[in-house]
Amino acid sequence: MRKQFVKTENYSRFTAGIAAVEQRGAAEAGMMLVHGAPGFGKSHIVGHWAAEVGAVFLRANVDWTPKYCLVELAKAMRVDPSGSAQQLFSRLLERVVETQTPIVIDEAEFTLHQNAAALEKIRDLSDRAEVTVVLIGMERIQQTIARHRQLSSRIAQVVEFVPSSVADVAQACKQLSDVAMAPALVAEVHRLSGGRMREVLNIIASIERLAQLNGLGSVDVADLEGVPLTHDWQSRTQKTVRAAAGGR
Amino acid sequence: MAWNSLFVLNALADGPKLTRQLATCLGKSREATRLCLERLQRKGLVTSAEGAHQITDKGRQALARGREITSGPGDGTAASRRGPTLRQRAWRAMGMRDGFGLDDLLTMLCDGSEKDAERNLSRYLEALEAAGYLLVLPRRGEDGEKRWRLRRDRITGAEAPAYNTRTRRVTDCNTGEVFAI
Repeated sequence: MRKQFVKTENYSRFTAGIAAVEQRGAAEAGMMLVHGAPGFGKSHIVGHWAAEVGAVFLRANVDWTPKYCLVELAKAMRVDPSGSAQQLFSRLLERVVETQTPIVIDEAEFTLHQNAAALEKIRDLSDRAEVTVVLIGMERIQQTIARHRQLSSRIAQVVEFVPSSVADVAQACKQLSDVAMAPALVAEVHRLSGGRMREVLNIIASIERLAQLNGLGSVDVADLEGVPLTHDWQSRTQKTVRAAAGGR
Repeated sequence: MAWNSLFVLNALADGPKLTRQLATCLGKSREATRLCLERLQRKGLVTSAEGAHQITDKGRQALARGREITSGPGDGTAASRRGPTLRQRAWRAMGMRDGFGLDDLLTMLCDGSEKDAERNLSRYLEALEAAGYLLVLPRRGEDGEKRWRLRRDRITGAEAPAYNTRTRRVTDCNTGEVFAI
């Protein structure tokens, strides 16, 4: 299996959101919220963008305080982290203004403790340095942030990550798999994975192994009918390929 | 720059000279002459001791060939720093992740347009490990692949360390430190 980044519909919506935030006027809000259930590729896609543009990527911790958050940011930006929170903020502000480095905060729920004190610091930095800040969180983060008016008014774009579409899965199969897959099997990969790209990759790897074992250059549903390709952890059952979804 | 280099080598061909003698000879300022000498020293064409400069065998060969001495990549001896290269992006991605394998980086960074990305990154990771930037993690990946962690005390700056495959040297572009692998 080829190891490559797949540009899904979530990726397209994310980059469109980023473009909108970056083209904003100076006085406008510069924060973006990315949210969705686990496994939909939030950190992966935002990480890809961050590596492209050289953004600072931080993962919030459960015990983040405003000072802890600033120290982490200072270390990532190679700013002296010593001194009071006020001194640290001033040094960081100078560096961020100078470099205009976008900031990404993964697991952003952890910035919302203590009346969102840590996120308020980031918001202040974003406002004053006019840099883009991307927050990554789970499904319910948007409602939690909405309770803090000062913060929610700064969020210029919200991108919800949704399950991958059949077209996304077809693109992944075409781009990554060394064996050709019939459209019916691609639809089965989509059903079995629940649109979770991580699961799609595991299933493609399994199909490739089976194709290799059986000497198949291309694979359809009929070749794999009844074969378990993934596992449902909630019902503790294996998920198998169903012929009803298609076939030769 | 090229003319300066050739003139300096020519001037040194008949014996060692001091910087001020060379500057007078070339009709250039001492500062311009010193900068040119530094470049020639880095290329191994000139050696300097106690203010006197002498052409090396390599310098004589370059002069004999009469070719232009440019500020280019030094016949495979310099490390490339064009960005954002795959290695530059990989350096950034390593700093974002707690642990990673080669596959993680490929899946995160490559879209298929990169030339021989797997081999390129594989060599780079091995070189960074040998230079002490990467810590090998005890737990391997799903397919038994090696995994690393970028040592936080070795993140010396935004510039990715450059690895020259031919000379097997890693150059830290943030500190100037050079590691022979």
